[in-house]
Amino acid sequence: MSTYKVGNGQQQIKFAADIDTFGLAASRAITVNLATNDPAVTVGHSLDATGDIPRKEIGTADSLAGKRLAILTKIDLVGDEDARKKESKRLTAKYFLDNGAAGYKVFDDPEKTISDDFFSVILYKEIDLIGQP
Amino acid sequence: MKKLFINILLVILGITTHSQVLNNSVKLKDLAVPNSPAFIIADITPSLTESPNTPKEFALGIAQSFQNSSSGFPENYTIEFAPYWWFNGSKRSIYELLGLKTTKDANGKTQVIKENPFSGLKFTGLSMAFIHKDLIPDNVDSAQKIFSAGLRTTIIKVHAKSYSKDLAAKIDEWHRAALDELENSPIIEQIARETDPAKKERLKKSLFTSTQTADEVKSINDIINRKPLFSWDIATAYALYGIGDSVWQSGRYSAWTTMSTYIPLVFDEENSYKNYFNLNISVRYTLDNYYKNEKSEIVKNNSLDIGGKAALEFNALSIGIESLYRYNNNVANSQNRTVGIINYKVGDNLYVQGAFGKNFNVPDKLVVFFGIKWGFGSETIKLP
Repeated sequence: MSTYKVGNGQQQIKFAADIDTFGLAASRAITVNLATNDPAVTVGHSLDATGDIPRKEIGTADSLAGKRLAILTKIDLVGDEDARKKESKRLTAKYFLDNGAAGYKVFDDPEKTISDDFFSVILYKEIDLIGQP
Repeated sequence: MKKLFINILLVILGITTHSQVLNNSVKLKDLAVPNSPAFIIADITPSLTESPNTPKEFALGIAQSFQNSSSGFPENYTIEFAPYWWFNGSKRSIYELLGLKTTKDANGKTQVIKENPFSGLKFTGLSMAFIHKDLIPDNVDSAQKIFSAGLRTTIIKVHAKSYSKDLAAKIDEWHRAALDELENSPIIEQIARETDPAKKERLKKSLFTSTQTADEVKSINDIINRKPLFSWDIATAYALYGIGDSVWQSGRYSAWTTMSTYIPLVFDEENSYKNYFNLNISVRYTLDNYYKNEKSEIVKNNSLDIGGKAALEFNALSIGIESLYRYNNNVANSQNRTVGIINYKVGDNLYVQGAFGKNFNVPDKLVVFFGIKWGFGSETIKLP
């Protein structure tokens, strides 16, 4: 389980995602409060098929503390089976958080789920955002 | 039943006739630039090939293969990689893969400008093999240590103008469909709230069933398979033979080049990508320091193969002419031939083929064959 100390205060937390793949990629990032049934809030999404989410402010430290940031990327691969198999194993992603109490932090260990025919891959990452004790 | 029997008979006849005429001869497709020249020059088709993503992985892989070997030389280690991506990994994207030149708009969204005809250079691939194999055709049955290395690249590849425009539009449609799917369903929230890892996985896998994005991918694959107006590929490879414990000798050297052009014959939207005039020229040069000649002597031999094809390719029908000339040590070889070939697509993956022409092997000898050929799929797209 990955965590990031956002701390307390009104400073804006910044987030970005860099998807490293030759496939078609689309990403969406949400924050969800696990302690309540409040609906999730979309805090970012990709603008094109790179799947990257450009660096953006996702909320103040106070508003994010205690929430879970979840980022999911759907990737569809082109090419023959051998090429798709290779790329599905190789592809990866990096997630960047900044301006919180923990400063600049990179997460590069998304969970990967590959379809049996190697046509599709799901990358998923959860980061729990922690306030100052 | 009778129809099936006739079909089987035709296939057997076709294969037999084809085999009698063309076996043991160089084929035009053998001259085409190979994807992994280091493997071709060493006569191997490895089932497991390493693809290091960083220089560190490359160095570690080589070191481990030496370490794990009892003879001090890797037993069977093959590698393939494109060095450009070692240092520009963050640039990997579908746009780069498809050779599209892009820019970012004010919001950071990728905009396609045009096709980059030289994008293939970024995918220049290196291949290497460390194997034990008997590549010296003498009477001694002893495997040599073989090290081979090769390079392959596409110097230029250019499609019709609509290629980049159509690709950009379809990629955008795919992204919109995929994003809608993620935006309009609560699936990410469900995954985020789920505590059971097995249920989390099931939820993720439910995203594999989208038909909308699958349709878009099919359209994108169809565009990728459009033939280029012009392409030029080259490859080269060298093999070194380790004889005994300490003697290393130059074994083989090869170079390949292929130039192709596909000129559309029809310009209406539906058929413009299915009807072509195709002109294709391939040249292969091989220097073999351990070649067994007709007198069973091991000699140095160089061969130059020049092959070409001109064909009219329609939707289901293709009519063309193929020529192949081979020179051994600058002397014209007996396998030279010129044949006319006709292919007709009977159904999905089923073709009727016929050929008629002149084989220069024996004066006045004709090449004739007729057969049925099964294939799977249409074309394949290779990734680096």
